[in-house]
Amino acid sequence: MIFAFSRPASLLAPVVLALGLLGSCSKDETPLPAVRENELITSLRLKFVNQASPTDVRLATWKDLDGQGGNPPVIDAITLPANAVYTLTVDAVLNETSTTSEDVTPEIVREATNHLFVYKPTGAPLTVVVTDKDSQGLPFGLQARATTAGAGNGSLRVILRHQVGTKDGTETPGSTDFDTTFPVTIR
Amino acid sequence: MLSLLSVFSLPLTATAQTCQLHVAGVVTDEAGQVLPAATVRLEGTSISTMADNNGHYYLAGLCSGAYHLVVTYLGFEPATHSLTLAASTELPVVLRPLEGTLGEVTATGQRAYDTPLMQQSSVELHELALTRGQTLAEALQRVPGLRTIQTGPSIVKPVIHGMHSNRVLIYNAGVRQEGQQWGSEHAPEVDPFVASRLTVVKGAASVMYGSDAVGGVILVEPDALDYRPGLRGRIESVLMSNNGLGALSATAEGARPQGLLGYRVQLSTRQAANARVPGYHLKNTGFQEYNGSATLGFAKNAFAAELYASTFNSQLGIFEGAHIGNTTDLLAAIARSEPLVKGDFSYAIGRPYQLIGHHLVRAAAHYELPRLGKLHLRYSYQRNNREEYDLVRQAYEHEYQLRFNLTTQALDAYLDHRPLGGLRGKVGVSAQHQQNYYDGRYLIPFFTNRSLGAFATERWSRGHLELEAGARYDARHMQARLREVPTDQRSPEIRPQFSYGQLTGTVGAAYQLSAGWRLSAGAARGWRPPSINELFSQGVHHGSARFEQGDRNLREESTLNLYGGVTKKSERLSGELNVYHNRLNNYIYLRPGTEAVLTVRGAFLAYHYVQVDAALYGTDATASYRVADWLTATASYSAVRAYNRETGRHLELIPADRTAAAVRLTLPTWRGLADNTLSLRVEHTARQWRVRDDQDFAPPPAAYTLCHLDASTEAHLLGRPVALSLSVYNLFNTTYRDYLNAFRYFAPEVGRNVALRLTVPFGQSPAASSTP
Repeated sequence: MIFAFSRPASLLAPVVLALGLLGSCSKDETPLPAVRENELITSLRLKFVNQASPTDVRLATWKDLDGQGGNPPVIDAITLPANAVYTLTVDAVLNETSTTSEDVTPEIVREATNHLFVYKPTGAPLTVVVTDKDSQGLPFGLQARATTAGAGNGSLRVILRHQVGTKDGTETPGSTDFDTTFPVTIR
Repeated sequence: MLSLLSVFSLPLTATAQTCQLHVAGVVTDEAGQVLPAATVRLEGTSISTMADNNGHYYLAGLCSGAYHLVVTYLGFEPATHSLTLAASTELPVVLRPLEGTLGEVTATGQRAYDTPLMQQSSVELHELALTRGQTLAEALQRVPGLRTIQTGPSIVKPVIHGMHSNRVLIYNAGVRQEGQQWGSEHAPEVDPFVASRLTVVKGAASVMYGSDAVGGVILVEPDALDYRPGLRGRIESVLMSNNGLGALSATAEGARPQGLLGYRVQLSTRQAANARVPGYHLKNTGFQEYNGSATLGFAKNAFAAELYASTFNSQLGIFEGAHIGNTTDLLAAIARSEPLVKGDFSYAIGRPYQLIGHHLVRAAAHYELPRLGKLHLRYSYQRNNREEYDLVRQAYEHEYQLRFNLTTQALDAYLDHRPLGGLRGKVGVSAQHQQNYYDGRYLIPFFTNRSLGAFATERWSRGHLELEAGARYDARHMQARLREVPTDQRSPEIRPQFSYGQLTGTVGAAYQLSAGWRLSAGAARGWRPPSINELFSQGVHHGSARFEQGDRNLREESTLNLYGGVTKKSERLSGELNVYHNRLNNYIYLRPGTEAVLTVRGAFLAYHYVQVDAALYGTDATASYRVADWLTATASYSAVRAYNRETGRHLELIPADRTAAAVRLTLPTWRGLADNTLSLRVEHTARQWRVRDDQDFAPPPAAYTLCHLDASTEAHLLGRPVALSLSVYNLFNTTYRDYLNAFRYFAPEVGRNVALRLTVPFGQSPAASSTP
């Protein structure tokens, strides 16, 4: 492990040193390591299905393909009719930094006892209630029920909490895997 | 506890004060001419002194026993006298000139010219014995002007006069330590068990030590090889109550019968469980360390060569409660008085943790050139391997998220030249080549550094006056390799190049007055090129919820360090008062921005590396008074102020003022227990109130007062002196937080800690034991 980077060149220490100091550019062609962000999540898609008319499906995506910094994220607005009840699903949690996009959702589902989705609507006349539970009987939040009242504007914050060994059904323990905010319009 | 009197003794002549006997005499040549400033030391111990201008030397505070007294003086054969000390003794020493050098020697002091004439302090072996088991930075904590910056209880770095990390150089066994020292959560990869002395040069010392010596230099000095035949050594063991720490170090050394070949082998380990703060344990704060070193030396006549190798291997748990995802998590953690997850007493280390290896090989030789002086040559090779294992969802057991691999080679050559009419000094060149790779998450790029430096420093002394001047030029060329957008696989590779260079100089003066008073003052320059993270950071810093943005256009940072002081050393009173002022140009620091960077984890405040003009100034004062033969009282104070000269605003992460008082009792021999001491130290650290609200996520912690206790004794077991000591840190189990601990947001500092230390010598050297 320690000597995994060992290259024959470094054993010729004095030679390399002498050459290096003479200003010659000894070419180093060790390839740059592949970009590897820890369990990076770049995209998140919410799916709203109207419980009264299942053909009314609305999708909203939060996407930041170049990771932290760089270009700002692209965020879809959520538009819902007033006085309706929707089934809300976190449809896809993706890592799209590599050439093939990776869906992290199955992994989160597999580790449902370590995760909690939290929904926080503000401003808009919208309420979101988590409807699913993990194997321990604690709320999970991949599925929820979104109910709209009158018209209005606001936002919906969707948070994924990572709570290894500490999950108690509340948001408090653990750390944040994602914390995204979508604009919401209800009319 | 540290032997307080010695901690505060004068930098150049620290002597043990634990027993009552002394050896004194005059050093002369065969014609009876006195030799001022000859070096007199007791072999196998850290006790040494320098003869005064009249050739007098005086070694006090010795225990009874057998000693080898060695006297060295440039141009003369070293003299060794074996003596068995039962009462205080007069021992005149006559030195014979080396062949072919008679007539060229001037009556000028010739202590090895290895540190500049600047503010400095040393921790000698008998004081170090009372810090065994602690980290390097903790061992230095009671040196005036030194503090620590921490990341939880296991990661501790030294701070000199408010500066740390890439502004403090560490020389480990004569080699400039090169790790990833820019990171405040990257602790020095140094095993303090190697050291028989730690010396701290406070202030800009770039002339003698090269770039990055902006705040100061720490010298980790192993004992010189002992060429007396036979095999001897010591075993040091430490147990600590707070975190169940166990530390063991074994040293064996000896020489071939002819005395030409000497060797030393040292092995040590430290193991600790979760640290305990008052009330609970901090989850995942244990560590394991396995270190070793070996030295092989050859010395014949004017030639000496030494091969040294060391390895440092550490696994460090990082407090799990400090693992946060975003700013909201951080603010929630700050709002809680206790972490949500508490640990129990366990040695298990889980994620997040660091796995660090540092391996060093050094070959050094010196040759006494007739008429010229001593020529030193040194080659070193170091490899630093750092792996970080984060707490992630897809945590495969042995998969790291980030690895750095830094290889450094250095070549140094210098001449410690013969005195020329009262002038002695060093001229030399040094070269360094450095290569960094990483794997995993991007934090810093690949880079190659090439550095060259040349220097000359001279000291002139006559009578009571010493003057010093030096100059140096350093140049560094760096090439980095990275993707234009580091987080985008498809982005093209770029190879930006950077060149840095700086001319530095130093002047100093010291004047010895009567009654042990000494005045000193000087000016010195220091510089450093921007470090790799300052140029290339781009991402969220884990644990501090900030988005750090480097700047590739940063220039060299430089400082002008002005210092002055007065020291006093006499039978009863000793102490020092030092002041310093660092005028920093292009000071690089991380400025909180006003804009937020939106990421999938939420918004983070963007911090930018910027350059400003700054000033850091302060004072260190200590005074120690021997009230009676058995009682010494000591007081000390240190303060540092740091301002942005452009805005007049206070800089972040500057230590708060500290005041300490201590009493030390020397108790009579009792039932075969000799050398009994007991000391109590009270330490008050003020609140760092100069930090404004917009400089931190939480207000700085409150002031705190701690008490520490030390007791030490020496028993005889099978005719050998066995040193035994008991220390209690944070005697009253006070709950407090320190402003310089990055984890102050999450948990308090560790509570009471009782340390038990036992040192047993073995082999043929009764006088070579470490006497606490």
